[in-house]
Amino acid sequence: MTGTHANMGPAAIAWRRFRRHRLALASGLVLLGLSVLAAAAPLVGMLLGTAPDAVDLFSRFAPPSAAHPLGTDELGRDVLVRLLYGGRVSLLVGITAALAAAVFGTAVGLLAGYHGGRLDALLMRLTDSVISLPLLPLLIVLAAVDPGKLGLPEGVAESESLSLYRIVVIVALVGWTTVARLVRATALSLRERDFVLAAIAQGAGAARVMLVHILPNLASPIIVATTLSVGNVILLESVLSFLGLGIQPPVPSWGNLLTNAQELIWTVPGLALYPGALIFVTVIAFNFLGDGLQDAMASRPSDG
Amino acid sequence: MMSRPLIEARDLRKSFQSRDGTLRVLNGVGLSVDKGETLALVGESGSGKTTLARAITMLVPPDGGSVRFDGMEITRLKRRELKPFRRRVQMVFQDPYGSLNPRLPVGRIIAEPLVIHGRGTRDERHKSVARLVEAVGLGSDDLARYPHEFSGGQRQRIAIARALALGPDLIVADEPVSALDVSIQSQILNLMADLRETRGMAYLFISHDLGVVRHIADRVAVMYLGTIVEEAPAANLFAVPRHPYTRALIAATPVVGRGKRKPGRAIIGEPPSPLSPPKGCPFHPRCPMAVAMCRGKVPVLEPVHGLPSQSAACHFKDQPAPAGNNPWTDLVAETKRGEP
Amino acid sequence: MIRFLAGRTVQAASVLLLMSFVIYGLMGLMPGDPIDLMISADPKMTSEDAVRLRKLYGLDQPITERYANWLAAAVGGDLGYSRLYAKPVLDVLFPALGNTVRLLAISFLLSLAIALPMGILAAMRPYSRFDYSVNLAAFAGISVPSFWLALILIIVFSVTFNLLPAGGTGTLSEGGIWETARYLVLPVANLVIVSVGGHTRYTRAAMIEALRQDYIRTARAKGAGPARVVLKHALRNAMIPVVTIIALDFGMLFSGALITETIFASPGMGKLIFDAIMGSDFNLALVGLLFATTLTLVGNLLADIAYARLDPRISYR
Repeated sequence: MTGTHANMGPAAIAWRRFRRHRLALASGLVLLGLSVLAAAAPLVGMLLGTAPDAVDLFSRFAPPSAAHPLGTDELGRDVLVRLLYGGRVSLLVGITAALAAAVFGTAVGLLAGYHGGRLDALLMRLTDSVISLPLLPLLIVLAAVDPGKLGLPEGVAESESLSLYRIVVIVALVGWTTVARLVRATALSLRERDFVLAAIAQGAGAARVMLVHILPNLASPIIVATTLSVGNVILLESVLSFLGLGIQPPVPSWGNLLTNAQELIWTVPGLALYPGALIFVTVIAFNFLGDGLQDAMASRPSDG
Repeated sequence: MMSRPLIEARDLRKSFQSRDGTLRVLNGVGLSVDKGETLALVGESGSGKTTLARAITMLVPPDGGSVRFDGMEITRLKRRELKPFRRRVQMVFQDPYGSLNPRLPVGRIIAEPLVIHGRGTRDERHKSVARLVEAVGLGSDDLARYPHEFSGGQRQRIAIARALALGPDLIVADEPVSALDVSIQSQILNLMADLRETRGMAYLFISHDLGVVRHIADRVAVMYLGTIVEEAPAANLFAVPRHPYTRALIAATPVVGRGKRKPGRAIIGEPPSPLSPPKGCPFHPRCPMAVAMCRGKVPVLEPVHGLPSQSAACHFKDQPAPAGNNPWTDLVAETKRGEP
Repeated sequence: MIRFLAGRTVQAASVLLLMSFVIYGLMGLMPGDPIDLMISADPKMTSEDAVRLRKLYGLDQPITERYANWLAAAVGGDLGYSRLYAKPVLDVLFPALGNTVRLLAISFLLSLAIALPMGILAAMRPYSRFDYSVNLAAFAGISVPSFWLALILIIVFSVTFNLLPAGGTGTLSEGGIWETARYLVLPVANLVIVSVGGHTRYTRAAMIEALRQDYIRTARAKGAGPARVVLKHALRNAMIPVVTIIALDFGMLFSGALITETIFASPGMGKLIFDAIMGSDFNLALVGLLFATTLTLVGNLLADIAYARLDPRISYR
């Protein structure tokens, strides 16, 4: 650390570097705005005097107006309100699944990187295999599995929120690889550091070394990889929902809103525009944000 | 007194596989440290000092040989079974920047050994940590700060406080001052010497610099290419070195004058690669005394005739150094710094 | 080299075997197993009939045993019949495989043809305006949802301007090469757009890394011109990571093909697998998925070979 940074903490330095990435900063603001809007979906619905599943067959395919700022769909439902409700689901599923994936990926990467040797070789072969497989068709199979045949109780298997949990689990199943590889690479170098040896020399057990000494020093790669994988996870969720295997209507999500739009593509092509554009904006914002974070955290002052 | 050594290593062997072949880092090393004694282990970088320190402390399990601590064989213990040993043997590392977890405040770093070994309640631990930082010359308001806020010397004090926390019988210090400025070095050395006076633990003090260990060591062991080539009480070693390598090291030691540090000198020639160690005496390619026998026969570490407390591994160990025209000063070349 | 290849082949084969078991197991968990379908098709059937039928088809046996039987038959060349197409699955799969390989190969080569020069040029002037634009475009490509892009392409080129067909496939006998190509334009464009961004970024990153190496600086210091430096020294080293990562993307490319084929109603492996899963055609779905897995594993194997050839230091252990 040089004199100019002397009185700044590591977080402050990272924040200074991050601010230089205008694109990442803008992305952060966009995501914040989207989240606030999505969270405020019921409020917007109330202001417009409608609900996401309020059918009005007398005003199907209405053009934008004061009552329906983005018009209505084939059942006369308000497009804007449905988009915002869809955003709630898509963002929630995306972030939850990315976090679940991050937890799993961190565990795999930490075990592989800390123990090394055969366990490392085995886990990394597994990771490589998962990355190289044609994942989408496999996920489609997983999504098509009948929950009743898994021995789940009837009430659970039939419940509406099951499709939410299921998509989170399925997407997390493939989303962990980025985090695992990054965490493993960093853990591998951390375990050679003297402070880890010092902990072992003091008699710390493997769990303590991993959780107290290695994990906190993995914060940067975990944050970066998780941010980057939120984008991927949202893409996966939306494609599965689009194919009818993710979030099930009438619960709207950006993906399944497009399923409708595809059927109406020859008559009302405009319907396809908004949900996809929102997915696109969200994913690219998460990617820019992750990229900016990566740069900001690239050479952590904690090394010094 | 029939005392057994606190720690005794015998015939330690360790090799590493590299892309270019097998690196034999430890070739049957033995040493012992008595209770309350300071043994300095000296050698050039690459001689295997650090590996020896890590093998003795079972951080890098040796391939062969034995380590007995307080009479108990520890090389075959599992990680969990080593815990009582770890409580009694602590380490101080060379790089005070690397040996402290950057994400923990200093108070937690020092308390860590106490937590690991379940010592005391939270309050009691706070009190012991406060005593420890005081003992190493830091203030208790430093406890909430993070390692990056301290200077190198202060960090090494923190590392020493951590090593003291459990009241160990032995501290293995691997080049504890070589990463520090010369002015700070003596402060840390004095601190370590004072702590030994008040607490009575033993040190295994590793250094590449004989000058550093001169005042702190009771005995000195000189390591070369994975073996101990000479071992003697400190006074003897400096006065009557019997291995030509020890003489070269002494001649290469920078002289610390009253004011400026004079240019150091280095031993001529590179140490041979442990990938292909020379046959016979490992030192013969660089030795001014080498004769045909040295290329063929490996000298054994044996007591020097007439000096029972001193051992050397040299075929000519029983011949005192010739006076006057020293052949081994030719071994030494002037350099800018004392880096061997 | 031969031992290295043999090792990798064995590894790929074991992944394939494991996948076959996993997929076989999952198929059993999908809704609408053959007996369910028979029951719904024939209201006169009783539950006793169903039990009898299950026994007859061996469906009452444990999964491992059924899998072993299936595997034995499959190795013997009997991969079963497709329920949807009423044909042996291989007769259904082989034509589709051809279509998919054609789509993937054209898209992959086109993507590389764009990504390599873009990535290299961007790496030669890092943080320039050109680099910035390339990066931005690459991010856009990575982030765009492929199924939405496909819809947009259809809306623009088929619905609005009626320039290109929105789906289906042309046959050589009917319309000639141009007519066939017209059907490929949108699917290929879709796949290229979603994969070129990633390829460009890998190339750029690898190239920047390679240009940073000491020997490149040495070559520059000795007066070698920039183009020569780049092409002769850096490119070869940059290609090693690029090849590895792009090969790992093979599976993703196939996933892209599934979406593309499904939306453009193009009769390839991806659409076939999707239809088979949705239509409870277990034999077809199972074999199709294994075909796709094999395809990506072979892609990875080829990358391993390329990797070994590019890097003279690699040892074939």
